[in-house]
Amino acid sequence: MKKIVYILLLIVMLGFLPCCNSILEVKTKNAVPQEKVVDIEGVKSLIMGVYDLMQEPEFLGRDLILLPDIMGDNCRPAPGASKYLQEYNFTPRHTINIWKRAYKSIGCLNEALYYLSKLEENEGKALRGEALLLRALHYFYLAMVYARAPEHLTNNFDLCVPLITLPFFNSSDKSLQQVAFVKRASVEQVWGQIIEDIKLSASLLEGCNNAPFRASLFAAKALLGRCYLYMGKWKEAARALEEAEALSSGEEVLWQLHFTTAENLGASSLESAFVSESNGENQVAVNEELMALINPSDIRLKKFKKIIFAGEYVWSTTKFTGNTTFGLCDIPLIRLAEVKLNKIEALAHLKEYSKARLSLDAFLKKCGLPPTEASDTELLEVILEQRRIELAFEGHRFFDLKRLGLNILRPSPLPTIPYSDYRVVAPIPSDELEINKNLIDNPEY
Amino acid sequence: MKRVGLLLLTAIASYGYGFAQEPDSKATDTLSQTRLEEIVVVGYGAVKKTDLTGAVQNFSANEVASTGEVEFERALQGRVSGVYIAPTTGSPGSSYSINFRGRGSINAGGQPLFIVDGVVFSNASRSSGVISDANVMSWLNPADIETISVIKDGATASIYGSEAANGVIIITTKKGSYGKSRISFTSNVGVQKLAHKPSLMNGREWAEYTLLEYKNYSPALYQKRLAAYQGYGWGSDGYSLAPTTSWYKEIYRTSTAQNYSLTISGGGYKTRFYISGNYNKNDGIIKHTSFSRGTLRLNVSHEVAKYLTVSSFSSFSRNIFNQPSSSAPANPVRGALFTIPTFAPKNAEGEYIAMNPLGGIYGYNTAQILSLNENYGKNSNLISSNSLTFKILDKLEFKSSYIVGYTWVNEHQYIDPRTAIGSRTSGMVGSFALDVTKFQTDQVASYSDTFGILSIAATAGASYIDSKTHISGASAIGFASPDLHLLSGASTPVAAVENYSQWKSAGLFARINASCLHKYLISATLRYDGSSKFGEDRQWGLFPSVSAAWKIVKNLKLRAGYGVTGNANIGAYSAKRLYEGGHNYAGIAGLRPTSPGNTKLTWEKNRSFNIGVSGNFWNSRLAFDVDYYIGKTKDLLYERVIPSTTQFNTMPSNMGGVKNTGLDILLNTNNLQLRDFNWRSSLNLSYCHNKITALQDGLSQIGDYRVGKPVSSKPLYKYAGADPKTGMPTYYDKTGAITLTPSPTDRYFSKGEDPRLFGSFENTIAWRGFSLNFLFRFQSGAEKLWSDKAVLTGQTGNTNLLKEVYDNRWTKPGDIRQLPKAQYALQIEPTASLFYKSTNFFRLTNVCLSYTLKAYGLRSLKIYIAAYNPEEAVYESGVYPLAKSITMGVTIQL
Repeated sequence: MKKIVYILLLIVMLGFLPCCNSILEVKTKNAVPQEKVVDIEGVKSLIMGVYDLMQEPEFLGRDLILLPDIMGDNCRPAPGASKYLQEYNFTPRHTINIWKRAYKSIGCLNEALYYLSKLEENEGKALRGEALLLRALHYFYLAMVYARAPEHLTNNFDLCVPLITLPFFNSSDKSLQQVAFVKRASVEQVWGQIIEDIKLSASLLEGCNNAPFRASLFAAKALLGRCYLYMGKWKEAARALEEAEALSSGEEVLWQLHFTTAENLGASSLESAFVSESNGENQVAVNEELMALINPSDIRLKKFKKIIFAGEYVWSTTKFTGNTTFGLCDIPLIRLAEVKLNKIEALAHLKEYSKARLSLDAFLKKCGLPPTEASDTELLEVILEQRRIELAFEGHRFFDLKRLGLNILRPSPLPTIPYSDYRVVAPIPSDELEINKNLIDNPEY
Repeated sequence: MKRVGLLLLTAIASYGYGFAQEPDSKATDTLSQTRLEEIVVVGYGAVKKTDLTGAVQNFSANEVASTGEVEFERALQGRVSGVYIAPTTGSPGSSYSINFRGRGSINAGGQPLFIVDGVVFSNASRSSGVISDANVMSWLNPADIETISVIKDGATASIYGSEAANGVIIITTKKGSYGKSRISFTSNVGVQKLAHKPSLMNGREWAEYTLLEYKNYSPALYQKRLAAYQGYGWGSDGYSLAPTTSWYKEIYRTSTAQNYSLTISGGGYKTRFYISGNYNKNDGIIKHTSFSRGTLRLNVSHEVAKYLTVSSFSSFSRNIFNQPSSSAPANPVRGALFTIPTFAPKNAEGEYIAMNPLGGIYGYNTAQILSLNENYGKNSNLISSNSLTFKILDKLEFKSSYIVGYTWVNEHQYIDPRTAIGSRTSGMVGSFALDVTKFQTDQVASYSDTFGILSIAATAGASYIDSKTHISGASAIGFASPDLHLLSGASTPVAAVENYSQWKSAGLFARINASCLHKYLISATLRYDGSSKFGEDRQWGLFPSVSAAWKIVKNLKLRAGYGVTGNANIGAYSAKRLYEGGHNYAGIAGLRPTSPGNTKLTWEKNRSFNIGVSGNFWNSRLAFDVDYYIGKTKDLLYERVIPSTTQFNTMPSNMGGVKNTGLDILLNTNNLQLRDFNWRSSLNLSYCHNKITALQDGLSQIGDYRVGKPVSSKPLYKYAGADPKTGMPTYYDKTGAITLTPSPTDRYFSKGEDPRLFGSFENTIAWRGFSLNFLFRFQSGAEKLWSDKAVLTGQTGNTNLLKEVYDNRWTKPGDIRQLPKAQYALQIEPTASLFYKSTNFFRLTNVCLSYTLKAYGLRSLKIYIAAYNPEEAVYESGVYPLAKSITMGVTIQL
């Protein structure tokens, strides 16, 4: 008996003495290590991850679309609403803040581009084009939020955002200080990179047919035109936009963020944000002054509705009303109407009035409106007004005023914000300044 | 307070001589010896209390029972010096925050290690997210507890190495004893209600005040508002006829708690057993919330041969949680505070109104949400600790333990289509399943011998844990009828989730205790630990300790010790650069990196020094323990903040430092001892100074942390009251001048959330069969943000407001007031000092009166009544509040 016990004891002791490192090996089942993402499939997944990030309500899923209209003159907080009140009132430091999300996207895109550069020349051409176009789109938004437009700097302050085109790895070969603590690039450098990325992406996206949920040549040309327009390069803008229009086969949306049922933002959606009789968050109403601009025969009036909310009559929009499910609606990144209006505007700036007028009248006709009677000098004003109506609540208004160096108009009784006001440029996030001493904040913050 | 029900349970104790012993040691000592020589459980063994070299506070079943407390954590609350214990929420069955000698870490978890009959429990969440703050120890029936050993000093704790830095609580359960079988039955019932509530505006005041807000903002908007209010029938002035609904009454209730427990124990020459069953139900003070638990335990040990004993301690428990949803618009705690008082929850027909006509984020009817929605979790725990003990030689023993722990969790969430939120999608359902499978084995050899004046006890062994967590679930929307509540009744699937994580740890350890002349004692331990959570290059760490004691005279002992302990309370994969799935777009699978990873990530190491003195004089009429400690944590498990331009916000690193210094005093006196009258007191005093000694990259401040300040200190704007001229909110800037627009650099740091001084004063007066126990608790030196106050003084016109806003605001030039004028959209910085509340208190929190009878052939019959009146806890926002309670119970022992 005693012997048996000793044998048992020996077995027990030998069996359970931890002896080597493999004893700590564990499995992961919902995540993959880096070596699994370096191929085409991995890169594609990384790019999808970027779209997924763009869908977040604090980014292009809602706030970056809504705030330019709340900080302009198209929207106001609904009665009793508090969510966007501080942005609406231009309370200092309460403004569009996309820094972290945009750089998270850019990091993933840089990583994707880095892995693609290690592959064979022709492999993943379209993916490379898509990553470049997405990166350009992110830098475009960063440049518009954190700096002034190239042609409208104030006091020659020309710092834009850090320009990062390489991925970040926590490796020991370079010190963290060297790679992570970056400086702000100049406005010129950032816009230069945007244009370079889009041009390269256009050449890579040729023949790729992923529109409208993903990047396409059409979208690349249209974005190129938009960026030239923002830079005040009217000639280049007009050319790119004409090229883009030539690619059109009539579809309205060139590029849009698509939401599947599983991705429905629900309470955090744009539909939920706009005031309605249904039970959304009801944070935002349409400014009555915008409604006053819309001609009763304008077919776009169908996108608006008047309702009773909190005992008051208020205007709202149905632009983002889900077809089947509450909150489920795609978000346009670039539309054909914008391409047309961009082109008309570029032509007007180039003083090619007759060409501009021809296109504008065609556009107005489509909206159920008569041709314009404005003089050549008044034409630009009409174009901007049409733009305000057509692109309302799609994230343009504040940027449209800002890129042209115009004062920021506000719903009454709020005073107009002069273009030179420091709040027209967002502050660099304070936690970012706290950690990265190489960053300089925007003036007056 | 949550589980009033458990009170009597803990009173069953009375096995007479059931002091802590090694699970398998044979209780052959004479009774008197056991009584005198109190044994204290330490890691992988036990020592006589008089031979302790560290700071360990011990509680027996009797002591726990005499407190009349419901949960063992609350029985310890205020009674352990140096350990701050507070419930995380008042929700039934929720966890406690247990803080040993100050926070040692900034980012890593700070909860202690629980060891129950050798089974290691780290404080990992066991929820898919539907149920929050569930107590990981809620499976344990407090009546089963035989001893609780609270290990405070690093030297004693360091035998648990890697996870001991936050302190260790060792619990042993009852084993039964040789001899006559014993039966004990206990039952109790209690009532409880909300302990504290703030004073809010009534309907009339609210309507009047909000009209004024608009009047002072924009005449046009004021007219619109006034017309709306008149339209609701609130009178021609818009407010004088406005009705009032008490949303507190709609949300809260007086509720009951009940508890029943039966235990049978006994044993023969070679076998001992303990069987217990327990049912506990605690209805929360918020309507439709509850916690219930059923447990079964079987502890058996049997001597197979002289040299082999087998034992098995197994328990099964099933817990059911019914909680309110914690999401913002559905949270009833905030609903009770914020809902506009002029609207009733139901219309004239008695049907719920889903949304009040003024809308807003608190326009949702939280009373309806609470009654129609479901938010419940069921968890089952099977924990079985089995061991073989070989007596190889007289003085050499080898114990081989095999432990399995299974936890199954089922959670369900249902949003009724009749509620405002549910109506968007015609209802929503989510159903989740989670299981945690844990295997643990310990192989421990112990040897003890005496060589003349020298006695030696040595222990060495190995430990290994493998823990796997698997979670899966789905959600769907669209119900044809509100009677359908399950996934298969929904029209559209929304999401399916599945997740898995695994961690392992392994350790080798050894301890030697030596005693010379029973006067000089020394103890040294060494542990070599490995954990899969760390970077590939740094998975192993060494944790040494040494402590010594000198018995100056028989009843006065000087103790000192130094030990290194670790903290591994981080995610299973934090050190790896991994790409997480599920970031999909347009039906195509997507990946995103979760962390930059760090192959060099390793243990957070806490080095602590403890010096103490213990005394026991005049036959225990005066006993004390005084301990001074310094705990330094370096190379914290720290989320190093890096520029987010890297695409990551933080990087797991070993950086920074925290220092805790403090004094723990425990003083027990036996004030009066007459023939059948006894009065005892216990004073418990803890002082702890916590500060950050280093952060990262040479920075003195980053985010919410500042070098030299406590970890729980937060930056805040110093509020200066309303400007006497204009009524606008003002603040002090960094120079002390008053400003309207403070910048982040003007903020100063608050005192911190952890009290610097805390403790209790307890008295027990016994006369014949009567016993009266009352406990005062106190604390000072902390303040906490009450973020809901920012909403309750905010002026966005869609929530109710504090009464003091109506009474004490600025109204005209020259007024010196704290609160600004009424004006729509006028907001005070949400982190202003105005919203901070001191957590100082001195309060009689617990009273228990009992009567014990020993007659009629019963071993004993005890009846008691206990009252609990908690402090006013300050919670950040929307957290389930504490209840006060009265409980009555009876215990019969045969």
